[in-house]
Amino acid sequence: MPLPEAARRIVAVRSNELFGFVPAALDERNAAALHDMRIAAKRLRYVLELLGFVIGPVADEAQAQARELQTVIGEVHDYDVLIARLDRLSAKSSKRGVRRLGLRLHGRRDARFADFLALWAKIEDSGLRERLLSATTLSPNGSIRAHN
Amino acid sequence: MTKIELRAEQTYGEAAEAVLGARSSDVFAHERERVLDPTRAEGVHKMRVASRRLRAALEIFAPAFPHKPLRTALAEVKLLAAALGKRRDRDVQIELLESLREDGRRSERQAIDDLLADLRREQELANEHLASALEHTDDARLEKRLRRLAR
Repeated sequence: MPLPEAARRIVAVRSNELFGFVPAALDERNAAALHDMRIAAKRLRYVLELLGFVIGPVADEAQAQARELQTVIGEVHDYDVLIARLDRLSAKSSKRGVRRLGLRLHGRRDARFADFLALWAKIEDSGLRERLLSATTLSPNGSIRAHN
Repeated sequence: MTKIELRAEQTYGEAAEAVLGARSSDVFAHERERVLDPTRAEGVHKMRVASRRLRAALEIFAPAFPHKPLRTALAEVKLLAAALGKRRDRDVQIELLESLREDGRRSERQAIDDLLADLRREQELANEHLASALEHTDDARLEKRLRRLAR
């Protein structure tokens, strides 16, 4: 199979995978969906690193946005993991200390989640999904659009 | 990371070979001593990222390779990546807690120290697990098998 054709198919699948996590991942309580969305962002980024040249300039933009998503969601996840650890912490720590640390961790987690929401709103407003879709679609006569 | 320049004139199979060769080399280029040194978080981090890129390459180009050797190699790459991830996750949490400790109040510091003590124990165990995973990778000649797949 020619590489451009295969590349377009793979990029389309990975893009749909990422955008498919919305709206679930926008729900603050749905940590699992957010975590899976991070994995989808990473997968799309790795595909675009290799095959993005086939779909033109939108690939660089998508790669940069996927990287940002991966970073911000990763930070939310780091706080989620620490919060869960703190909840399990035995009685050997003072209750006051645990409570204070918990408040700080929740505060930081909320701030990073707000950053994620803002980033996602920016991605949606930019029409990235539609442009990615268009760049990965075959023309009506079945030929591949030239971006190379 | 080895730079790979694919071209539109290549076939999917040709691209698969080029990518797999480069991504395998990136994983096995890391010095074991550095990776297993818990005071140097960078080594394990870089090898983990390389292992993820290798895994992604195997998944993206899976149809281009013989099914059984690919399936076995992919399973081993996943195990290696998981062992690297287990260590890396502890490194990240330790780093984050240490930064929180710096500007934390006295009452918080006790809780942070308790969490850090648990995490350092887990980091040690994760490092032992990683050492075994790396040994297994050598014993199973994973690098050589990946090179053969890439031909």
